[in-house]
Amino acid sequence: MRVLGIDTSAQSGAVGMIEGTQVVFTEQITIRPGGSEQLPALLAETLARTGRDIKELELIAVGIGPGSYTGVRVGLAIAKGLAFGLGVPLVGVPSLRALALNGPADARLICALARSRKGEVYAGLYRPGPEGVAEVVPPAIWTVPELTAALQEKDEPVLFLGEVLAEDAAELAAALKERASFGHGAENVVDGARVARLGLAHWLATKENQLDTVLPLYLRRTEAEVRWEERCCRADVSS
Amino acid sequence: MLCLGVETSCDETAVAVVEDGRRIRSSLIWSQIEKHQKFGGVVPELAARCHLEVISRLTADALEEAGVAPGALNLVAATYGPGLIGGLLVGLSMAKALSLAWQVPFVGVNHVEGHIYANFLAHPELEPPLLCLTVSGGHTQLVLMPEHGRYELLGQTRDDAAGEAFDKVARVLGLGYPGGPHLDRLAQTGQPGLTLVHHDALAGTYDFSFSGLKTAVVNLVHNLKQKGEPIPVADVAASFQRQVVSILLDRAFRALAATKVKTLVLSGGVAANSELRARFAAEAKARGVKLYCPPLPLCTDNAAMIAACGYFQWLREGASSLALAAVPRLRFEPPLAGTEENTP
Ligand SMILES: [Zn+2]
Repeated sequence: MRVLGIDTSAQSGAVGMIEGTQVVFTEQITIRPGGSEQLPALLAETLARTGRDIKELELIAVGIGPGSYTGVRVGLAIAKGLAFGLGVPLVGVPSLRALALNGPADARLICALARSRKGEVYAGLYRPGPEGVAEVVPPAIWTVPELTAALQEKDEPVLFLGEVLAEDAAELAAALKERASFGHGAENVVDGARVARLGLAHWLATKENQLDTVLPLYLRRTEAEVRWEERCCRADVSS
Repeated sequence: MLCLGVETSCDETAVAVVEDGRRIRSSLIWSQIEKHQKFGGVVPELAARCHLEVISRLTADALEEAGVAPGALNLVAATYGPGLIGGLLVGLSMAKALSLAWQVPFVGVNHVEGHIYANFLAHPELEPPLLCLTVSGGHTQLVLMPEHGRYELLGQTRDDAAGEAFDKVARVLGLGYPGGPHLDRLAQTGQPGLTLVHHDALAGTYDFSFSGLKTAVVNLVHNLKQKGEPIPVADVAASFQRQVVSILLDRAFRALAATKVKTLVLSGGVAANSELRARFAAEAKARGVKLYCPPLPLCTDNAAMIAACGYFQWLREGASSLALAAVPRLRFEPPLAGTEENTP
């Protein structure tokens, strides 16, 4: 099956195509902040350069985050347009799981990270195995001290992958000392072909087209909703 | 020529199919108003989330209602500004991907220009030159359109958009959200004779200012409250509405006289206001001006107007780049030489 994988959940964007087990192309692109809407142009260029026709695609896979709300939404909107336009199914894959696939097979524990607000990160824990990576702890929002404490309990080497702020990385490194190691360069960016690979496995296992149902992994309600509920709770208590 | 239109700039997700820029084959609007009601205004992040949730289903439904197979579309148009960035990006990104998948051209449309084109859908005989007054929650603009795609911005608001002023006054009077329609209904039961002290500092220009009028209402309500007197809400609504419409009427008909254009089109959500429609109709008749006003569903945000505008734009200028960025504060370009100082 020919599968396109895209991910725009972090600072960089990724687009990759696989044909069965072969990688046709995989591109990691630097997009200006908030410029993920440029991905369709880059996809068109990549297809032209590699001599592939968009109509060959049989499945679209997209990273659902967690990460930048806007970035994830753009990725999903592009994926929906492609899947609907081509009349092929769409599947969503957790972006942190795809990121964890960048780690070497002999890594013990992989902590895949994405930027959240100040002082917080999105993190998921994965263990490499014969079938890719197994999820140990699903993606969630962590403060850096909470994450450090949880990893200290694990008592094994941890490989951190992802684009995080330098001060957060420094804090993790200082706490875990020699047990912490960090990915380099492209290892820290989701690989579009790996998104495609995860999407293909999911599709073969479920045959569920998520065109109308796939949702970003926001992990958080909007601030307006949170504030509104806080107000309501206070009103409930005082009445 | 079948064009798909996509509109996600505010709190309405809309998809439409329009034939040759004039004939609506389908026009679907998914309003999020209920989702934002309890917050008293549009929450941008919530709006963006809602757009993404419904857009693919809405697109499929729009095609089905138009009786069009996905591969039969020839053009895809989407709003790229002005509007809320999170929402704009959803519609724009999906539209680009559709154009890529279908291998048809993509065009990015200015939402405000789209509002003008609602009139071309409603009135097949309409042709430029014309003068267009756009009044909505986000815009108040007076634009001369000598021909398709050419605009001269004659005047615009220096502060609040007319619809914004309606919403704020409605809130002061304790009416529901969105305020415009509530205020319109209430005003019909009131007397417009109350004095709202304010000074139309822009009299003689084509620009608008509504914040002084809004403050006059706030002060009046405040003073009555302090004196413990009842607030004649219907009369306040009627008086405020009377003055807003008077200002709009003054600018539009002076511009018609000065430009010697004989056709006036109204657009935007406030064009649905009953007093505005009635007084503009009467004035137009008295002055021998042809007045066009889109039917109510085309006044408010919709995607048919985006498809229509996109079609005429494509005829003139061809496709937009797939790298086109969303522009939340997109201006109405090109401005008339010498009016730049009018822009806030
Ligand atoms: Zn509008």
